[in-house]
Amino acid sequence: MKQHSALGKLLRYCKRHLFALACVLILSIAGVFLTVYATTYLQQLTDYIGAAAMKAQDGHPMSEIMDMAVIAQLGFTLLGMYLGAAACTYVQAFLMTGINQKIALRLRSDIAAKISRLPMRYFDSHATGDTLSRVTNDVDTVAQSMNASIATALTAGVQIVIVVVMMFTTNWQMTLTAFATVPLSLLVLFLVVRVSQKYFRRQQKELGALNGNAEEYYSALELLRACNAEERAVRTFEAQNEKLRNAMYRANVLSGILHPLTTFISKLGYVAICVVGGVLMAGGGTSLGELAAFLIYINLFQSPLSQLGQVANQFQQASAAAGRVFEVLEETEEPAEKAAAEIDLQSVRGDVEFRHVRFGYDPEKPVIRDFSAKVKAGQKVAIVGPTGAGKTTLVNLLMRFYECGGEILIDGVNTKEMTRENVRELFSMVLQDAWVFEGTLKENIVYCKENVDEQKLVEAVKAAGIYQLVHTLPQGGDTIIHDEALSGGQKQLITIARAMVDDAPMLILDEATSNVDTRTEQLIQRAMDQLTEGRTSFVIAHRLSTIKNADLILVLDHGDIVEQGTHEELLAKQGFYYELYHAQFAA
Amino acid sequence: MFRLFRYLRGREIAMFAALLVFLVAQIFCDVTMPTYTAEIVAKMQQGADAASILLTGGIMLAFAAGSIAATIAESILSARISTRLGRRLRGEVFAHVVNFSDKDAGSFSTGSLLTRTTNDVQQVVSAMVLGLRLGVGAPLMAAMAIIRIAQTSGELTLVTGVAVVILLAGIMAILMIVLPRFKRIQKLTDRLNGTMRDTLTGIRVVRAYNAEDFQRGRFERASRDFAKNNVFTGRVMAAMSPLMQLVYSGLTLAIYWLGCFIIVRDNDAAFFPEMFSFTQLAAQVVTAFMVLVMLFNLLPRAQVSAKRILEVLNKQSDILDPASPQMYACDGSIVFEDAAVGYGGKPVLSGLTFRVEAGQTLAVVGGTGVGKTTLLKLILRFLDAEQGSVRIGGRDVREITQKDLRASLGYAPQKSVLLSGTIRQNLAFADPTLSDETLSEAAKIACADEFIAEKGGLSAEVAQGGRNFSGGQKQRLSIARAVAKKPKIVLFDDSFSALDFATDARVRRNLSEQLPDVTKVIVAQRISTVRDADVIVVLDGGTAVGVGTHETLLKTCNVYREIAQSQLSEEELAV
Repeated sequence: MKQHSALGKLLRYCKRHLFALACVLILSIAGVFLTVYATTYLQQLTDYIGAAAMKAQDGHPMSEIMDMAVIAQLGFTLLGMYLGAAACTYVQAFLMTGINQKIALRLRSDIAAKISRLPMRYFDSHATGDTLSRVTNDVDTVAQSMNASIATALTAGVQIVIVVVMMFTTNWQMTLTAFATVPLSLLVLFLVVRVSQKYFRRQQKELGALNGNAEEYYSALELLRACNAEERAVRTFEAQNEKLRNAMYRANVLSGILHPLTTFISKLGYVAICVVGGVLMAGGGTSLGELAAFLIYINLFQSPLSQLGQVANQFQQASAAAGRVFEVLEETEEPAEKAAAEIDLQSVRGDVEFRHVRFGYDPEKPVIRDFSAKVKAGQKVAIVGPTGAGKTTLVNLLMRFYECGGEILIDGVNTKEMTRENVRELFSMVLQDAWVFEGTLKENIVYCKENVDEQKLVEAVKAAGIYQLVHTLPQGGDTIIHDEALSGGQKQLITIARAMVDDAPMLILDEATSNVDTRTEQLIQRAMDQLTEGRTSFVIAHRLSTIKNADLILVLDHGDIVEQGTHEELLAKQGFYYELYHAQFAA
Repeated sequence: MFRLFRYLRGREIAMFAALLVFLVAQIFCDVTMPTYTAEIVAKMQQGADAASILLTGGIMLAFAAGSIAATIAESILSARISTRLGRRLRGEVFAHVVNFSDKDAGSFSTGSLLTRTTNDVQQVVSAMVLGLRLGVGAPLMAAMAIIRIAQTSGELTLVTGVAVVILLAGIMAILMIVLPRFKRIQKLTDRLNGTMRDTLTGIRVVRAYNAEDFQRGRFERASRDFAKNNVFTGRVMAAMSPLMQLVYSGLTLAIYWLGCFIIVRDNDAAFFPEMFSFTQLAAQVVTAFMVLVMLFNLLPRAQVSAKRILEVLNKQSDILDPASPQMYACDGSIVFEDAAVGYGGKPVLSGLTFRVEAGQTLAVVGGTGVGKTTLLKLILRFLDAEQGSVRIGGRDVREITQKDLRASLGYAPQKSVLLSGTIRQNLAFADPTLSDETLSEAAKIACADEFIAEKGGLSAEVAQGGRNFSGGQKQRLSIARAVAKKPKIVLFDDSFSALDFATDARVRRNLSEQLPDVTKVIVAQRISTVRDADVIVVLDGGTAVGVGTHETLLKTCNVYREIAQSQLSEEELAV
């Protein structure tokens, strides 16, 4: 059921290529027709030569019986038909390639667009690798095999019909003989495919297991060495390796038997036709030309049959891939929004208020229970608390990555009445996991901000402390950087520079300095203090020393604010914060 | 690629010899069959009876059966050989990887190692077996078919030759146009994947910066370039199949046509049945050459895979056990004497001199990238000192086996890795014989007992990569694993960073109270974590700029004081 629906959806993508597809269909029918019909001329040629050979038995010289002009005429006709068939096949394949790639392109575009509209929840609950493989591998499989298999199936179907018609018009007795072997070859095909599929699935399963096994060990090499566990790992791997070998062997043997078996059956049909044809010929029921044509027809009949077998296999893979692609395309999107209110980037003050905010990723398990707090414009707010207290969740809600119960107000405007885009442009954000993409250093810092002048860029680079780094890179700011080439600290500094260039009225720093050593942190801290000056900023930090100068400290535990106030006030209280603060110095 | 042949064992070579015998038999059958076609046609022409035709048909079928039986035998043998070889190569690659030295492991990404272990091996093995089978079979087939044709007619041999030349020239031309583009495909695929991966891994940032359209634009560009390249190669490659079809049909026609000339010229009507068998033989010749071309197409890809496999197999660890290792009874001491280490000639750390006695705590502090982890690697002998000496437990690490050395060390790496299985398996990773009691004790020391109980005890499942545990929990399990084996020396590489301060302090208190005789080495960023250490080594600029206790270092070491000041308040510094 699922496969059919995936096919139906894919057909929708074919709609705009209807004209090209019609051409493809016509061309493939024309090509098949020419190929099949050419056989009748070959039949005439054979009959002509055969008849001549018969006459020659009376002792006439061949040169008198055989008119080379007749042969040349037939020969040129055939040549023309072959050329025509080749041209049809090529143009059809040419068009099909274009259609395939255009459909793949559109699928990829649609997925990319979809990814912009999916809620954050989707990304937090799906593995990146999985989504990635849907966008690339699966789309590719769909484009390559889905259409190819549909096209092949169509052509093969057309060919079978035309050949059958031609066979019946040529000689019905021999046609029935030829068909006698069809059920046999179908039976073999069916049996072997069914059995081998089981083994191919097992092979894929064992391969997956082996991959998982190796991946785990490969990412724990240090640990293996430190624990003297190399030999044990090899033993575990070898056990799985042997299972894979076994499954592969069985699958290979079965598929290795299939092909010769079907060949044998077709040979069987071949001989049967020769015998029946011979008997008929003796009674004058057929001619040598007809027999020769028939031998070609059998080939033309059997090759699309075995093609259909392969296509069925390909089609299954492709529709599984299409299913995965459409799963992404049909995920629930973030609800469309209409802005009931808008905050202008230029005139925003930066008052933020949380009113009875409630939230849980799983509605059963609330992470934030009842959170209320008022932040005045320009304040530096620190959010502290033990791991799992809901600090990052609060940021998720503030940025509207997730929708919460209760209200969050900016300058008195409920953020739910604004567009998400509007909310997000009010904030710059630096996260614990520093993210850089493959592109030049400059692209990474400027990012999607438009009209950034050089002066501002240099200032940000200097303030973030990567001026030095820029100059050690081979092509300076135009050096292509990527994830693996930089240290965690360097990446973090780049993202900080990015936030500085972005220059939004409010700021969120979620453990922004945890990957940076403490001396660099000091440098950044200074830059940050500059950046937070006059802006409402939210800072989440492990090291409490870094947030001592915050205007407001919110102490979170189990999703509730347990305390709030300044550093001194909270210490004087001798409560939860006091304990937290002193724990870090305890021996 | 041929260097990988040495991984074939005697039995496989014997199987291969058997395969070749079957191959020759199969080809003999295939090439003989058309002769009987000619005979049947001749018999029909003469109006022979059904029984006679049936007899010839029966003989032909017997040859077909022979060919099929031989093919099946070949398939079974080649499946045997290829799966055995595949298994061996995978095993070899895996064993090499797990025995990589630290330096070698760093030069490959996990993903690339995985590809080498599975895909690359598969590519190479199938190319090797297919290559041997077809590489021998196709030329043999062509040769035998041509000989049969040549026996009767030189002219038809020539026509067949011309067809082969046309076919090869056409295929070559197609490949010449397409090959450079094929090479680009990999790059474009990487770019396509890369931009999408960037978007997915940075989705929070993308959203925060309203950069959805920016990311989409990058992806669209990559996607269009990818499609453009694919359209081009696809369209050129599309010529392949009509070309083959045309050559094939054209050759049949040419044989008929030329056959007529020969019949007329030689006045030989008996040549007519021969023509039938020639069309089939000629088809076999053409097919054989097509197979060869396909093979040559397959080889470069396999070559690349083989190179990638050999890259792994040729790595030889430079960390070697001594020829005659000393007995080792670890006394828990650590002594560095002017030790220095570097990567590729560039010194990373030098001038390391310090000493820690059994039961003491050694702390290593310093900025990112100054070589704190490198120092631990010297202790573990993941790296060898290029100068000076590293003496662990009373012996120079180069005098004892790596196994003995590491058996005495417990190690919690910077990245807390958990393996799928149970908590028990993870904690007892260094020594599967450890009792549950010992493991529970270790868990208690690491403050991991509470959440282990919550998850359902030591038998609780650990998902791949430890996904069902938080960062802090993983770290505590990693600490528990390091102490469970009751090592003489235990090393923590920034293992407390994900713990909140209270838990951090509790774990450290447990360590000093419960494991008083165990030497502890702690790499940390937090001054609070290291201030009570007996020896603190401060790394900066590739060397130890300070060695001493918290108090002395505050007075004598500028770098240490700076770090401390950034984290502690004045009054705390005064303590």
